[in-house]
Amino acid sequence: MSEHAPASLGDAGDRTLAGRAADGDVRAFEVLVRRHGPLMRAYATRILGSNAESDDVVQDAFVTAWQQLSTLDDGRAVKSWMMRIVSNKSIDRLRARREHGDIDDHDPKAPIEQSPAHVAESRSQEEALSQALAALPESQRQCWTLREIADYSYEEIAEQLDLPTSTVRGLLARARKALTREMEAWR
Amino acid sequence: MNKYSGEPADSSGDEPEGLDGHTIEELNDYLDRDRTPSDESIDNSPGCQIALGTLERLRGLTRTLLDRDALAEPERDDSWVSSILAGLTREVHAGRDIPITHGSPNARLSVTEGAVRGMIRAAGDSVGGIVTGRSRLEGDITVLGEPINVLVEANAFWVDRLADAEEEVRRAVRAELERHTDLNIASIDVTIEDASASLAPTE
Amino acid sequence: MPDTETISTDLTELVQSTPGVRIVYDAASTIGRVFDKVVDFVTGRESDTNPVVVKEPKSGTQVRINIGVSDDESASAVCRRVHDAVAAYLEQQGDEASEISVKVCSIG
Repeated sequence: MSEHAPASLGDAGDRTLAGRAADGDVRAFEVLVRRHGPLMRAYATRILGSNAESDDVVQDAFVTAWQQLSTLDDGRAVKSWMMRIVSNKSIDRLRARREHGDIDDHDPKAPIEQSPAHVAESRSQEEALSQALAALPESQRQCWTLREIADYSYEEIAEQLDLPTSTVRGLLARARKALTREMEAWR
Repeated sequence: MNKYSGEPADSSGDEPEGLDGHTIEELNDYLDRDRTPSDESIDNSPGCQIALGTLERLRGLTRTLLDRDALAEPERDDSWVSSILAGLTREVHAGRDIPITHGSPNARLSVTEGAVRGMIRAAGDSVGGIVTGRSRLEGDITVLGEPINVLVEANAFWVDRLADAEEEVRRAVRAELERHTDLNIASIDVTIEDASASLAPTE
Repeated sequence: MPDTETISTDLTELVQSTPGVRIVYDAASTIGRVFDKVVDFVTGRESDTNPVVVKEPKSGTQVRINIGVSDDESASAVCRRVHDAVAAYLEQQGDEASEISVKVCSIG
């Protein structure tokens, strides 16, 4: 045997961890929580448009993941599987906001853009994209995020946001036009 | 106007100039289908080519946007993780009840499938360089004496001979199953994947 | 004949003190937190209420016990040991046990 430090749970691949967690190993699940938590929070924040509820959403998502892990056939897909749970729960929140009439009449800048990490960074292409996204009307930003980041089809977006598919197409077209204009201007 | 009211597909102006009659939406659909079948009027238009480049850049940046967000996330303290773990319940993974024999007709003794899986996990972990993954008990374990096939997956780190490690795991798992349960073990199938590459230094 | 609550209390203590038993889980509840942190490590129980379930239908006393055992001995052996201790207690009380159920929910 080679002289390497003994392997620990934290070194195991997603498939092994998902398998152990599906069998009830909390320690393995904890590794998954630490490993993928930040990305899942960033994802929820993007879809929700702010980070106010993303902690809650991700916690809910993890509880659901724990309960349903045994239904996952390929443990290697656990990361994208959990991301899908996050987007579903985020959209549920959006729907709940709409039903309670929480939609702002103005279009707020996403607060994530004002975090110290973002402000301190020098302007880059990613930053330009981030800012351009923040400047979009909320309806356009949500459609674009679900399409480009969450990989939903037009029909899925229409169903989730309760809009006609043609409306989704229109919002996406506007969003793309605005974004490409921004990206061109940056060049 | 309520921004969620039905809006027709956008056919207004404010398309970028120089697209030779095409719209951004058309170009996006062209990208979606990987530029096949090819469209000469798009392929031959310099304006369209520039716009297609921009759209591709947009897609590429999008993919990294989330990773960048994740890196910029402030460090969470342990309480966030603890509160998630505190919300998890045990019963979800208890599985089936495996009977334990006893002479008395009034005795209903059993061990849960979940407990046995945990035991298999520990047995595999006890072998050097091995981290056990998923395990399965195939066959009706609720019936005494039923032949059972055991399947175990694992990762190996810095193990010279996988075949030896598989045999070690098999022995350890059988020993534990025989010690703790009354199961009739017909076979133990161990599949080990070498995961040493994941420990290679990255940065 | 002591009432079911007294029996439950006595049996809980009896099971806890049986060699090989690490923790006595709540046999009545279907929701068990996955972390044994809620266990009072002094009493070796999952909660304040008596975790051993005792019922007394006309057919005879029914007892339900869920335990976690340590890895040192055979789980089956500990399980039988618990059953036998409970059966002995009930017999001492002049009680006709119709069913004693002991389930091992964790090993180690």
